[in-house]
Amino acid sequence: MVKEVVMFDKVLIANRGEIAVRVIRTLKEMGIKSVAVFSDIDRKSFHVNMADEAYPLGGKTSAESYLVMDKIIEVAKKSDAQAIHPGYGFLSENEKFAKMCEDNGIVFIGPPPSAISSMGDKVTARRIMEKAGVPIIPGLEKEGLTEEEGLKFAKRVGFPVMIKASAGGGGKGMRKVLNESEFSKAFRQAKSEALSSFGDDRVYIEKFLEEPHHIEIQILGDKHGNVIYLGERECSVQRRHQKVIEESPSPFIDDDMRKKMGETAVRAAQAVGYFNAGTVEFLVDKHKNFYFLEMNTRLQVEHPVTEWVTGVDLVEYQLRVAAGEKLDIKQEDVVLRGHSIECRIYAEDPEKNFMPSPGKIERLITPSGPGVRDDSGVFEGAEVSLYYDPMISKLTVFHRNRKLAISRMLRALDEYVVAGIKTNIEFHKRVLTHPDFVKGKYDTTFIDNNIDYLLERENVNEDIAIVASLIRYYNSSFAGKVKEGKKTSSKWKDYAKNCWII
Amino acid sequence: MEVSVRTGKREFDANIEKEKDRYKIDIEGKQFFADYEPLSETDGNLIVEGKSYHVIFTDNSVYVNGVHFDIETIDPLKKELLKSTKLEKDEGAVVTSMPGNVKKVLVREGDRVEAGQPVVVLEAMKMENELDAPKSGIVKKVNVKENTPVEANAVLIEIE
Repeated sequence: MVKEVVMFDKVLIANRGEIAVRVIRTLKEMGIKSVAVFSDIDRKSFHVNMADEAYPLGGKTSAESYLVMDKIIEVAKKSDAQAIHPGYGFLSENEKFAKMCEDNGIVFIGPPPSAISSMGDKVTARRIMEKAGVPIIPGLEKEGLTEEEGLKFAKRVGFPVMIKASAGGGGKGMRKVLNESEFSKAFRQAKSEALSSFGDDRVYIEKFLEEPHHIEIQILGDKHGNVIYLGERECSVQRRHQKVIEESPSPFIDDDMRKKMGETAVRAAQAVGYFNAGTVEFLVDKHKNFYFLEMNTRLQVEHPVTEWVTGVDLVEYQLRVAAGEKLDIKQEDVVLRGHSIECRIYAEDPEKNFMPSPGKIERLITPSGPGVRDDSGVFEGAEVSLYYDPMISKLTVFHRNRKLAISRMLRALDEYVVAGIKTNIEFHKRVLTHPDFVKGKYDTTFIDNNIDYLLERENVNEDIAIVASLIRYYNSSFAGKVKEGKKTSSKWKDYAKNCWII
Repeated sequence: MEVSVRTGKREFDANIEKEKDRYKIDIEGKQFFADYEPLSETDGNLIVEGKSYHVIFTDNSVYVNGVHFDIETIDPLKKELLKSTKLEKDEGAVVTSMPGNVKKVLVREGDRVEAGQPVVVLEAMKMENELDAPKSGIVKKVNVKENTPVEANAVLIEIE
């Protein structure tokens, strides 16, 4: 007798921002009640407003709020949520939290805790992958790695090398070292960043690959041992190891290679008894050799591009699998159709060395129309806080081929208006019109190698902006005279308030 | 009406007059006829030579078709007045444009620094940002301590 799988009635989302909103949307579609949690800073945020229920965690920083496991478990119990979706970041790859959920009779919407710990520790992950026949990059991993040992290894395999946080991910605690003289500083910086980001200062070292592509495979596994792959995502447009633009399929690989990488990714997942959605990241060098980089045991930021080209709602399948359902998609059912691109919209100022730009969003117009999806965590009037990640939205588009998808993305970016804070929208337009990007010939060095071009601004409409500013100035002076008989400030709002008089 | 205009690169006096329903504007010898229609407190539509533009005003900026511009407009008389009374701009100040937490102070008072050399590491939104010395010289004053928060536009370090 097959036990009937019962879907959850209520799920808590242990996250904030766009990903909390993303998860709530699918929950609504599935008729599942959503429970939001929030910090003091996030009382007015979008996800709180969208959820069916919302409970305060208190605190300002992540450490005081979204990372406090006891509080989140307590809310889950109080609200009778049967499962917790961790989103990405925060507690999504925290083995202890996954176990705590289990111990409290709450389903953690993620892989088994053992898979998190195996993959979360890069040293362990490399060992397991090597055993499973998954290619890995030459590197040095050991407990208590000293600076001297690291340097010795670096000199042996040759610079450049990468120093990475053992407990890390997402580029934090990661340093590329070009030569011997930079080694000592980079080693110490990586350790201190690893400690502050993950509470664990262990690092390891590996050889740096030439003209590397960052290509990752989306996998999906159930609790019955089935694992499938859902194509790849090309994530080589990165700045300081943070992804900026992703696309699927990758213009760098063909069907044969996709199959090879996909099957390797499935092997990697099976080696740790994986279920849930997951991502196996590979570095691919210019000779198309691919090496295991890491596995993210959670939903990825850039998952929408895979959803576009496969037609699969990954959050829906995370929920189904977590509830115990068998995957109803077979490998041969997965066919990639068309092309999808994602641009991450960050609150940052590219012209000031990409400094984060927190503040109030005074005006927000989000793109829509055919083949456009905007996964946003903000709204007009919202405050982008300096306490959390600067990503405010992910814009994705779909079209039947890559060329058309690029045109569609440019159109959508033209529609996108965020006033009051600085964003990287113009920067995205420069990337998408760069000849190498258009040809699909780029690797992870793309942004660094083309930074001057990418930061250039054409300012084609500067005269029009001046015309507009002059009209504002003219009207505000004039409005001031009518109202108060003297000149007042040149603030546009003064004019707007008085424009009836004119 | 004469108006002094300053953008990132240009500085000049422009002229604007209203003629019936449109504005006649002179910018550095170029003439524009503009039809402006406010749409809301912040937004408007501008038609210049048949081309249509969506304009958005915030307190300090103007956006044309979503693209941001910093343009200062000021009464030419006021500008002269400001010029004569304004103190010389302090070019040796290391200023933060955003609030954050001072992670590290890399120099001490009396240190010699080169232009472009990082002097402070500021942490905001989980990212570390290095602030560089705007000019070469001697560190005259360090106004901040490590692991303390700072407000936007604070002068962190002064270089002479």
